[in-house]
Amino acid sequence: MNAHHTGRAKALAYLIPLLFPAIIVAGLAGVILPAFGWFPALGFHSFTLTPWQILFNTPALMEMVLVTMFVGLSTTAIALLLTLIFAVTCWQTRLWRITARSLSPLLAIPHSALAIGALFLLAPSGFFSRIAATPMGWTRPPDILSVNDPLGLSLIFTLVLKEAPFLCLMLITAVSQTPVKRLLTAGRALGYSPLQCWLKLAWPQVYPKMRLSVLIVMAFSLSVVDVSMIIGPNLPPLLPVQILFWQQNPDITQHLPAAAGALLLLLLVIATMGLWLLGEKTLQFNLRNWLTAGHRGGQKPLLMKCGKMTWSGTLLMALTALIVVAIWTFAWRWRFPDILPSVWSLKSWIRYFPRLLDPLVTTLIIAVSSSVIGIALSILCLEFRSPEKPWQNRAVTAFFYLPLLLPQMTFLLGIQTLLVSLHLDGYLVTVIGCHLLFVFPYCYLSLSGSWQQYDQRYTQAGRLLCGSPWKTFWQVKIPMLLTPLLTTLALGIAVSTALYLPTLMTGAGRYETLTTEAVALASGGNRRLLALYALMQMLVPMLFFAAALLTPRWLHIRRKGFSLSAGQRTSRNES
Amino acid sequence: MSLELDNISLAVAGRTLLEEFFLTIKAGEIVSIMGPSGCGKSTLLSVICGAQSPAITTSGNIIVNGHNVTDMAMEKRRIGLLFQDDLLFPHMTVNGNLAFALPAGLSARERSYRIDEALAAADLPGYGNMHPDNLSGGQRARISLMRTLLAEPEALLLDEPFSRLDAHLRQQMRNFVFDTVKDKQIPALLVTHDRQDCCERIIELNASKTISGDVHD
Amino acid sequence: MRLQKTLKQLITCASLTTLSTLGFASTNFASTWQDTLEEAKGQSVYMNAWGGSESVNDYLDWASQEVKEKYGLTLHHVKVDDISSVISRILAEKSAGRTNKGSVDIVWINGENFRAMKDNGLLHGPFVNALPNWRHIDTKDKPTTVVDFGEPTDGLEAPWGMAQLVFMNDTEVVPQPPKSMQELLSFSQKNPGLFTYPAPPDFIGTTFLKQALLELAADPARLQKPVNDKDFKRITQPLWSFLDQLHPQLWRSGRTFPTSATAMIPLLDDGELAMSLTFNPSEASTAINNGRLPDSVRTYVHNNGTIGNTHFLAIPFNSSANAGAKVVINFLMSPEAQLRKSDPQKWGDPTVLSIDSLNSEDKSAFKAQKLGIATLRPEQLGSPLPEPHPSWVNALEQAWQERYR
Repeated sequence: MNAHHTGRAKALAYLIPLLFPAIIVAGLAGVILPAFGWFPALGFHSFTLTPWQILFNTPALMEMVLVTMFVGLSTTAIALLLTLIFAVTCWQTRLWRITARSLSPLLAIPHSALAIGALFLLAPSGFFSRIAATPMGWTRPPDILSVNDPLGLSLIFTLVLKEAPFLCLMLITAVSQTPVKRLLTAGRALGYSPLQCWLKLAWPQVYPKMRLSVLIVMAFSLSVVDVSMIIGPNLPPLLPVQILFWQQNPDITQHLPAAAGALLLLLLVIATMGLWLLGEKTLQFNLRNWLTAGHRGGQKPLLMKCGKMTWSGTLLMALTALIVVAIWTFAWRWRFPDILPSVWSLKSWIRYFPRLLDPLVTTLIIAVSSSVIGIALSILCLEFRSPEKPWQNRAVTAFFYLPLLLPQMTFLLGIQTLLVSLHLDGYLVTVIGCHLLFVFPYCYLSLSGSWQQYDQRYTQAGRLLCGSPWKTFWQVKIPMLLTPLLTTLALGIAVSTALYLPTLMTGAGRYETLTTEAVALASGGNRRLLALYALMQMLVPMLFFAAALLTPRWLHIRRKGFSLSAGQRTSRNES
Repeated sequence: MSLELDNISLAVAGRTLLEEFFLTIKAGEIVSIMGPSGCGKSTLLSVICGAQSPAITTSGNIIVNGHNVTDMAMEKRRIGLLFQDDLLFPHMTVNGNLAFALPAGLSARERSYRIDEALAAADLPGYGNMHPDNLSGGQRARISLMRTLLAEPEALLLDEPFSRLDAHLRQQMRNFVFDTVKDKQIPALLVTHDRQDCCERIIELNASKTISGDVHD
Repeated sequence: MRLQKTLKQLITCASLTTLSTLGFASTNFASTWQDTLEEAKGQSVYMNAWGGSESVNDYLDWASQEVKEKYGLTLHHVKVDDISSVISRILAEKSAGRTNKGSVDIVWINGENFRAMKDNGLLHGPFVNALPNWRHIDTKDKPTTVVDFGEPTDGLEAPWGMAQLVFMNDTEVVPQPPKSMQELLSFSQKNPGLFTYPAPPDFIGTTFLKQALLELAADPARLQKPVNDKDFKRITQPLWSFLDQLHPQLWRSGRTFPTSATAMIPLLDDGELAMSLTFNPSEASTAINNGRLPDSVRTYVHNNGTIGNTHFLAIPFNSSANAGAKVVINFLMSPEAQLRKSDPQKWGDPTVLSIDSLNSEDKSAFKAQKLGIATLRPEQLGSPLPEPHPSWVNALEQAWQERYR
C-alpha cells in the first residue's frame, strides 16, 4: 500500500516537470496555427499568409520592433551595469548589507505598482518637476515628454529600477558561491587595485552564474505589457502591447495578426538574446589581452564614490516612488507646483477602500492558492528528486526556466487559444493554473537550495526514532525548513500578485485583481485611486514577506524566552 | 536481544570494502570497530540501519533480535543510531525531542513519566522545557542518547558519538553510554577513531578490502 | 408517424414565433414579467462595462446593492478597459459553439460595437420593448434612443443614458474658449501646448475627429452614408490639413497623445492643459465635487453644436443569466435609477426618460435636481449633431494612425 503510494507520487514528481515543455509546446502551437490562418474556434479553417500581410502593413511596425528591442537591450545592459557598480563599490561595506536586506521587499513590489510610482515621479507634473518648479519659476508643468516618450526612456528607467535589484540579488547569491574574498586577496597581493581585481578576477567568475537571470530580465523587458501600458510609448505602442490590442479588437480577423505578431515577438526575443550572447563573446575576445596585460590600476576614490552614489541613488529613487504613491492616497488637493498636498484627507481611503476589497480578496485567493499548490508540487518534486542523476535535475530546472525565458505574450496567447477552444477560460481554477505556470518555477527554484542544504541525518534520526516517515516529514523536516517555506510562500504570493497578462487572458475578464485594476485605472484620471491600488499592490506581498521573516523569529523568541525562564527556575532549584 | 551480521559484503561505487563479514553482538555487549577513514566503517553502519544509497551494493543478512530486517524499511528495523552530532531537533524543546521518540498510544501521564525518567537518567531533571540551543555540548549529547533509547531500540549503533566532545566530557559521556547500554542490555556497535573508546571486543578494518575479524579482549 | 412529427415541429415553431412577436402584448405582459422576475431570483449577472470612471463604478456598486435587495440577484460589474475586447470574447464563444453559459450577461455598448454585435448575430432579443420601464423612454425628442449611429436598434439594446461632446476650459487660463475648430486652431497657434485630444482609437479621440470633420467637411450630410474608398480622401482632406496645422501646437507638440479623456483630467488639474473634452456634460461638475479639478473649470460647446448620442445595454445571445440581465436592465431604466444617474454629485449622465411621462413625484424630483456649477443647461447644450455612419469610425482611425503614428 505504502510502496504503491510512493510509486504514484514518484511518477507524479517525474510528470510535473514534463508538463512544462508540454504546455509550452501546446501554447506555441496555439500561436503558430492562427498565425497562418488556422483558428477553427473562430471559424478560420484555411491556411493563408493574410495574417502576416496585415502584420506587415501595420503603421509603424518597424519602429515598434526597433523600440521594443532598444528597450530590452538597454534595460538589461543598464541593470547589469548597475549590478557591476554595486559589486565593485559596495562589496564588504554597510551598503552591501543594507541592500541585501532591502532587496526582498523591493523585489516583492509588483512591476505595475512601481511603474505607477515612477509615473508620479517623472511625469511633467510629477514629484521631480514639482521640486524643480520653484527654482525654475514654473507655474504650470513643463511641456516635455518625460513619460510615454517615443523611445521608451521612462519605461527603461522604470524597468531598471525593478530589474537592477533582481540582478543584485542574483549577484549576492553568485558571490556567495564564489571565493571572491580569496580572489580579491590574491589579486591585491599581486598589486592590483580592488577595482581591477573585481573586473579581472571576480566578475568573470560571477557573471556566468548570473547569465540565466540576465536573459530572464531581457525576455521580460522585451515582452512586458503592463508596465509598458502605464509608462511606455503609446504612439506607436511597443510590439507586445500592440499584440494585446489586436487580440482585444472587436474585429475578429484581427486575432490572426495578433498570433503572427506574437510569433514575431518570439523571434525578436530569440534574436535579441543571440545578439547579447554574441556581444558577450566579442567583448570577451577583445578584452582577453587587457585581462592579462598587467595594468594594476590605481586607487580611484572619486570613481568609487560616484559608483556608490549611483547605487544608493537607484535604491533611493525606488523608495521615493513608493513614498509618493503613499502620499497620493492621502492627498485631496495636490495641484502643481505644490511639493506636498495642499489638502490632506482620508477621504480616498474611506470612499474607495470598501470597493477595493473585492479585487483584494480575489488577488489573495489566486495568490495564496497558486503559491500553496506551487509549494506542494515543488516539495513533491524535490522529495523524489534522484540525486544520482544530476543531468535529470538539470533538465528539470531548465524546463522550469522556460516560462521565464519565453515572451509571456507569445505563449499566453497560444494557451488562451486552446482554452477558448476547450471552453475552459473564465474559471477561477484556470486562472490559478495559469498563475501556477509562473509561480511554481519560482517556488521550486527558491526551495531547491534549502532542500539541498538540509541535513538528511535529521530525517534519518527521526525515522529511526519514531518509525514513521510521514511523522518525521511533518514534525521534523517541515518545521526545520519553516523559514525557507514561508519565504517561498511570500515569494509565490508576490509573483502571483504582480501577474497581469495571465489573469487578463485566461480569466475572461471576470477576475479583477489589484494588478489588473491598477493597470486599467492607470489610463483613467484618478491619481488618488490609482495610488491606493498601487499601494495595496505593494502592501500585500510586503506584508507576507514581513510575516515570513518575523514568524520564525517570533517563534524563536518565544522558545528562547520560555527556555530561559525554565533555565532560571532549574538553576534556582539546583542551588 | 542480539545483533547478527550474517555474511555481509559491501561495495561502494564498485570498490569492495567488506567481504563475507560475520559478527554477533550479544545483549549488553559493545563491539568497537576501528580503522582509517574511508575503510567503510560508517558505510557499514548506514547499511545496518537501512539508509540506502544507490552507490552502495550489499549482500548478506542483518538479524536484529532474531528477526531478519535486511529488506525492511529503515524505520521498521528498531535500530537506534547515535551520530557524531547530537542532531537534536532545533525547533522542539528537550521535552519535545524526547516525546518524539516515544511510541504512540501511551497515555499523557505515561509519556511525561517516561520523559522525566529519561531526564533524570541523563542527570538533567527539570530541563524539559529548555531549548536545545541553550544546553551545553555534554548535556545535548546525553539528551540525544536518552532520545535514542526512548524509542526502545533492539540494537544500538554509535557513529563516533564522542568525537565532538572535549577530553573531560568524553570520558564522562563514555561511561554514561557504556553504563546505560549494559543497564538496558542492548547490543551495541561502536565506530570510533579513538582507542580509548574501545572496550571488550575490537574489530579493525583496514583500508584494503581485507578485514581482520580478530577478537581482542 | 412522420407527418405527425413534422406537424408537431411546425406547430412548435409557429407558436414560438408568435410568442416572440407578441411578447410585449399587454395581456401576457404581467405574467411574463412575473415569470422573468421569478427566474431571475438568485442569478449572478455579469455586466461587462467600462471601468475607467469612479462615478460609473460607484453608481454600479449602488445598483448591485439595489437589485440584490429588490430582486434577490447578484450583479457583478466586470470592469473592462475597452468594451470591444468583450465583443471579441463573445464572438470567440460563438465560433466555439458555446451557445449558452456565455461569460457575459450584459454589455454596455453603442455605435460600431453595437453594429458589430448585431451583424454577427451576437445579441439576444428583441427584448427591450417587453421591459416594463420601456414606456418611459423618450423616443420622440431623443431619437438616438432607437437609432444608434444611424443603425436601428430593433429592440436589441436598451437605452441607458445620453451623451454629448462638451469641452472643458480652466477659466483662469482661458476665459474665452474657442467656439469652433477654426478658432481652436488660431487659439492653439497663439497659446501652444494647452490643448490635446486622446489618441484614436480611444472613443473620445475618434469623436473629436468626427466633430472636426463635421465642422470642416464641405458636405457634412455625406457622412451619414457609409464610407467609400473613392471619395474618402477628398472628403477628409480638410480634416487632415487642419490636423497637420493643429498638431505642432498641441500638448507635447503632438508627439504623443493621452490614452483617454479621463487621463486628461489630472493634466487639466495640474495646469498642463487648459482645455479638455468629455462625452459627459456634467463630468466637470462631478470632478470639481470630488476634488479632482479646480472650481475654475467650466464647460462649453461649439457654436454649430456638438456630436451627441445614446449609450445602451444589451444582452449577448449566450448569456447564462438572461432573466437576471433583463431585470437589471429594467431597473437601470427605472426613474429611480435614472434620477440617481443624472445627479451630478453621483454620475451626472442625462436621462433617456421622458420626464413628462413620469408620475408627479418622479417628475418633480427630476425637475428639482440641481445641475453642477460647471454643467450647461439643456438650452446651452443645444440639440446634438447626429453621429456619422459607424463605418467612418474605422476608416478615420486607420487613416489617423497611418498619418500620425
